Amino acid sequence: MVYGESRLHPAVTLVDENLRTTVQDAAGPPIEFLTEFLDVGRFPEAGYEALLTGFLRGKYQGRHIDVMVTFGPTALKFLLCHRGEILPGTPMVHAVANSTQLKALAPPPDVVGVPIDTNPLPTLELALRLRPGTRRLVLATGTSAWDREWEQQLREAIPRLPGGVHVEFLAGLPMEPLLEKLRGLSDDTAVFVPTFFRDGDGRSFVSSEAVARMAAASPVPVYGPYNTYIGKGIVGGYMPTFEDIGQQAGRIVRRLLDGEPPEALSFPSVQRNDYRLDWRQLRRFGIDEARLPEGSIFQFRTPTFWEAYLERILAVIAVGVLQAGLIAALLIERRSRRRASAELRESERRMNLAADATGVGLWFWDIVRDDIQATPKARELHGVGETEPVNFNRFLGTPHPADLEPTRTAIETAVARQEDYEIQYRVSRPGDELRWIVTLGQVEPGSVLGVSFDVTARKSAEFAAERHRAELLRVTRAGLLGQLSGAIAHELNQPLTAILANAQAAQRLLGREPLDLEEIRDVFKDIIEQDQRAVEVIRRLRALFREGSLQRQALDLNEVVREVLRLVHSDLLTRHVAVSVDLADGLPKVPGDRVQLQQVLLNLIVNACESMDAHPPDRCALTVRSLRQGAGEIAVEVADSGRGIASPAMGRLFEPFFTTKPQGMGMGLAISRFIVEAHGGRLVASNNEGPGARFRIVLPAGEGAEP
Amino acid sequence: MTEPTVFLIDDDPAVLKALSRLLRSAGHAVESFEGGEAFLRAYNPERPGCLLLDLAMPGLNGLELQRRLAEAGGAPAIVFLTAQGDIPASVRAMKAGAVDFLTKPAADETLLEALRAALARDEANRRTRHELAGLRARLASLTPREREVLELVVTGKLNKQIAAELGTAEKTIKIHRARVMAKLGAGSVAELARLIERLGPDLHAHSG
Repeated sequence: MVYGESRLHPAVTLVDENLRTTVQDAAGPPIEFLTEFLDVGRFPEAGYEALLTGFLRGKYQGRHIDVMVTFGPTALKFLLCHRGEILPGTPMVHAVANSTQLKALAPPPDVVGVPIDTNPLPTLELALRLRPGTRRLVLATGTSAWDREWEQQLREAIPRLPGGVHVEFLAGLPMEPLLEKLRGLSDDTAVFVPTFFRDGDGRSFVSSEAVARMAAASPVPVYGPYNTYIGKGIVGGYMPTFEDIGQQAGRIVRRLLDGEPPEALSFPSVQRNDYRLDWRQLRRFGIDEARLPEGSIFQFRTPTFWEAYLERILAVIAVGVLQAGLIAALLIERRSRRRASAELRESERRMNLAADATGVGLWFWDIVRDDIQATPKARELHGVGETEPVNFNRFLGTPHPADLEPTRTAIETAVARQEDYEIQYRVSRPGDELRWIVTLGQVEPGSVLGVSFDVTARKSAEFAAERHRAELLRVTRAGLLGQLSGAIAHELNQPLTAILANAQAAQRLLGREPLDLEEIRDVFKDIIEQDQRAVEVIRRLRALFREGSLQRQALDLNEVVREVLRLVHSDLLTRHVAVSVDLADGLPKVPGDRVQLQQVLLNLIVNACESMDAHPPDRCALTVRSLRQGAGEIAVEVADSGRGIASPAMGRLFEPFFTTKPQGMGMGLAISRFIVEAHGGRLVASNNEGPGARFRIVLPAGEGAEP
Repeated sequence: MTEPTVFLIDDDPAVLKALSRLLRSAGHAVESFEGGEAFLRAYNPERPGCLLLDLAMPGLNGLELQRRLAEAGGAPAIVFLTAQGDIPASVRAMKAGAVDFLTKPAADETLLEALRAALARDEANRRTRHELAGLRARLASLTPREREVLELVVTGKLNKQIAAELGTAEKTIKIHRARVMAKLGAGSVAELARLIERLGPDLHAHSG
């Protein structure tokens, strides 16, 4: 394989890779690939060619080469001239050469290939069309042979542009002045850059890097004819892809290797071009996608899946994902190395591997064809065979029956609304106990891209990150909030009723003769009082559910308990739960966060009530006690007369995601224990001698507190 | 008859005060109680009126109170007014004979409408009770003999047949019959039968 320029160009990697994979038949004999980089652009001196020829002749003397492939017009030209000396008689395949160049070079019949269409007109016309009012075109070209060829081609194309367009060449300038000129362009301008191998000072460049710098400097859209520029900052253009070029050349090579004579081959007359655009650049310049020709291909259309979801994945997985560091490192590395799309895809491939290693399964659902492609990890998570074909129905066979309906509904709703979704469900795998799976899906028209991971195994003791804890606390609060709706309704409705009745009474009183001003004044006083009461309720409730980091105060635990009991008062009434409260006197203060400790109490009380929900009213008893425990410790205990804790559950009670409730998330006790331990205390559970269970919170008393 | 009173029962003093004020401003006579027990202590079934009752109260809750009153033989008209619109509770309340079940906060019109209906029902109940009581009293005023005659008259037997059955003269029967009709205030056998029908089981409780 002979490349006219250096190996630095990203196009090289793309073509190379695609050609090799196309040529190398997995079942066939291994093919040896030899590569030469002529680097003509960087060594324009006379005599270099002669040196090269001599070198190559010596190198390949006596070597049998089956096929030669050239990339670019310079390599083609070089070999056409000198093949007699280097490798006479070896069939050649050319790539990345256009029809004009081919006509000029007039290759013999044993040199075959598919020319590329480098007509710049479609791209220039696109540039004029996409932003209305574009009246000026700036063409930036370099000084290498190939660059000059492009310049010539552009000059020939200009007369065929629509009238009224002002064209300016920035040809053969050194990089810095060129960038300076680009920076000062007016808004009615568009820029086109073909290749840029060498600038006016003789510095050599990798074209795509040069274009990236130009796109960064230019305040107006930049267009180009190669797909390696897309992602570097150009808006797009009419172009082939190097991947296709590589594959096409590979196919020809393959047939030559299989013994077909070059003259007998037939293949497309020209490499296929498409309009390719960088979605982000369209957004940046506010270009309406409706202006684009039909069949345009958009790249970077959405943030990659990883960018969109990584934060959330990390937040939910918590510290069990030790390898999250690997993913993060890869992401950082990837962000700072945004070079060729080949490299992008390379790191994405690595991330997929890392994902598998961390237990994250990736899958892609083509809704139209109802086909789900899933990584081995994703299949394993759902208990699906490695090669089993999977469609939506098959997937629906994986969640636990109790979770099936909510799962199905959530997905169908999200797909109908084209919204991303996050769901969790249990999966029972053959020979395995129930595992909890969290799945995130990114919904596009016609497809869903998703990730699933096993969240069963995360242990509460490893909640290290404050952020995860805050996130989860908030989620749990929301859950508990739902359970307290009865309490809220009652607490708020009392003052609201009083306010409404008072106001309506006042209306009637005002219609009476004579006016009883005294009474009316009293009405207003009552309204204001009740209003303040309502505000107070709302404030207290909001404080209970506001997110905040640990705020330590010296707390009177009895008061904390009483406040919680007030809140659940009416809920307990409705549930016919008899509460007995036994709070010891003179307890020392405890340093702690009021809101969080109240959350723990709420959780315990709610659990207690739920354990008694099947009991008849006269057997629902809740006891809340506070007492001194040993040296410097205070205990608050919540006991119930409910179902008690079954022995298999006893050891797993505080495990996150472990729940005995069909609708439970299993986070309440895990978080409660975490909070208590963060306060330097412990949370213990035991069964009563009689019916029911008791949960005891033990907390250290504050320093300097009375013994 | 005395003016009907609305009996307000709620554990929240602010609500009690505000509702009381509202109802008074609409022209009702109101009495407030802070809990079910307080009301039971003061309850007098003879007083006309209705109850406006909260559901969730410590001690005796609303449904409990309803049950207790029913057990004690009183059947006051009850309108429930509660903060939680719990469907099972509301069904229980209505099945147990409540006039209405409202949720807080309730607009004045809704409230007053429900109370109007309750008071109307209370009045109707009282009238019926009163009539039945009167009837029972009149029944009790019959002599044993008159009683016997009454029971046979309403079966449609002729005086002659009744005389034969009871072993007295037809003339005697005629006199008894006339006295029964007068005491009970009936103008015909058919009316007599209707009255007896209304008393139903009470009849047998008083006979023999």
